[in-house]
Amino acid sequence: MREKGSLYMAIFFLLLGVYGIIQSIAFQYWEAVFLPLFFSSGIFIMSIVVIRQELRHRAQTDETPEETARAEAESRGGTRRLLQAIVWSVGFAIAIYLLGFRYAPLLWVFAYLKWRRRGWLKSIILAVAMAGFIYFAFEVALGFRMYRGIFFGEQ
Amino acid sequence: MLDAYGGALSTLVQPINMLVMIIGVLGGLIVGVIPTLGGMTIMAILLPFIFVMPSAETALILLIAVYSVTATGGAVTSILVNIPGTGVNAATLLDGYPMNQRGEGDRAIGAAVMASMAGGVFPVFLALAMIPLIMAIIMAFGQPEMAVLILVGISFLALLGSGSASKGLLCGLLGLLISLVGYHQITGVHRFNFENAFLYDGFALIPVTLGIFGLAELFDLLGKGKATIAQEGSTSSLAGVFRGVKDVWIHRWLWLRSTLIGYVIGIIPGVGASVATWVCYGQAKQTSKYPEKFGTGVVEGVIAPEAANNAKDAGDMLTTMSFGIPGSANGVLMLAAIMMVGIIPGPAMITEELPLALTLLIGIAIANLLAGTLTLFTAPQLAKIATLHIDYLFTGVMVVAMAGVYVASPSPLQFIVAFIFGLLGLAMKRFGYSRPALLLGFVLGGLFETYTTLSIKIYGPIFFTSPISLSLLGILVIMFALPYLRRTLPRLLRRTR
Repeated sequence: MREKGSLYMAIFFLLLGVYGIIQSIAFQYWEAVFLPLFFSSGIFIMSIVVIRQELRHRAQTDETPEETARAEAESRGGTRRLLQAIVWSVGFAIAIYLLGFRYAPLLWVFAYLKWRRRGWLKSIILAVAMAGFIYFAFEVALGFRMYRGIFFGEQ
Repeated sequence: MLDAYGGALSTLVQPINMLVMIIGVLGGLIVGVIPTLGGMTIMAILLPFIFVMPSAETALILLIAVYSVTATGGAVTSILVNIPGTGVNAATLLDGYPMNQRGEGDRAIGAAVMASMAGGVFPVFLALAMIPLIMAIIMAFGQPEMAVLILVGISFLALLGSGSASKGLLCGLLGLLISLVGYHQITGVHRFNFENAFLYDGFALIPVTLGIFGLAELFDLLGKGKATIAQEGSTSSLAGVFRGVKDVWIHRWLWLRSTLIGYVIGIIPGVGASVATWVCYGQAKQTSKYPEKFGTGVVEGVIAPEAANNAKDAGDMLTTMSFGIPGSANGVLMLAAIMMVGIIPGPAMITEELPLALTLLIGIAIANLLAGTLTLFTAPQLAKIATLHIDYLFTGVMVVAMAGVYVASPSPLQFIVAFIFGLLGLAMKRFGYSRPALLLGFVLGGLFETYTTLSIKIYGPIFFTSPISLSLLGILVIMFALPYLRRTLPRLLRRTR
């Protein structure tokens, strides 16, 4: 599983290297060209080295079908949990964009903890504590104006 | 020089700086205790706070406190819970946990904390004594030498860091390429910005760092699906703790050897604390009268790695500040922090910003003293933090991280950058690609381009012909050739026989 992911990443970096080379050549002055070209070429070459290593490693590993199936099942569970975490994190970013730092932490922390079936009291206390921490630490103590959110007049 | 010492001490004793130091020590200990969170995550989360601190010194004192003490907190979890609090505490649990199972957890904690504390303080004096020597060396470094040094530093981190060397090099190059995104100051050319105004200045350091280390760790933690990171450990008594403290005195020569090895390994760019701890554990076993007992719960197996993992900090910071080349992943984040306050690590830092450099070195000693004293008396309570439910950890860290991203770069679009790099960091972590190498390339890429372009303009394309540059390149060639030679030389020798 790990080898497969590593291989896909190396292929992604290889494509990035190719993109970098094509883009670099088009820049106007040598000062702007030579380092991007040098680094992109390096990425391209090192990606090929990594891909070769991964393919050789895959050929040498003799995983039984049961082991592969178990690893894939574990990975499916992990991926689901990971996707949930990412969705919740993106949700928090959207909440901040809409509601700003005064209300988004309050609502998001409470909603997440309730979704995770934590108790009402603990969820409320932690939500209020986090929102209070952001307000007092950044706005009161450090004097920084935090983002208010587009619902509250922020452009 | 004496003025600089006076300046450093007066900075450190200011009430605000002492308060920040205590907060940093507490934060570092708490994070050190929580396995998998680690010093890198908390340092990445704290980086944005630099912009809202009253002064650059205060901001860097906060970070140096966290940087110095996470390993001390991590020892507690290693011994009581059998999970290393941070990666560098892995060697400690080999003997620390068996001691705990035998009912000597308190003694192991006493020994670990005392070895860490003394191991963190003593090398600071070594580093301070070395500064005049370092100053003489770095005065010989011009732009060509600095360009070559950056290349060597990134290669060292890639080649000697954990995991595959080719993946490390690939990540270092990727970091360098990412640093070139945006407006090129010398020619005015826009590079890799997809004609997007948001990327005209390139990627901001904070969202990238927070994404790669902070968010990636959080996602990884939640993906594993555990309710708590660790189960509760055993309790300990103060008498047992002081017995461990006495053990360090009994094995003082072992402690001294481990401290010196840790310090020297800390100075070498890219090697990191994990290597130092395993080397010291190995030498403790080899020089012991009863090596067969190692792994069953001998106190020397706790003293050696714990002395080493704190001893490397002073050496690491010395190299980071003098040459701009960090010795470890946490050092990369300290480097980023120093650059964020407008100071270019390297010759200028040691010559023009000497009081600040001394403040940071002495800060390591003070942080270690504070952390050691605190941990000796509160180890069992600290260990309970490791049993915190992951839901509370996730919400708390996420809120502070997002606020940090906004404080550092006030645009909601930076959240997208942080998430993209968070996902990249997660994939890199899971598939064995070096995140510190990527970040070091990203942090030093701009400087590397400036030094290289100026060197080419002044000295021509073959600018690396000075003895220092050639020596550095020679070291680099040896580093690359060594794994190949190690494989092929024995074969060649066999054939010639």
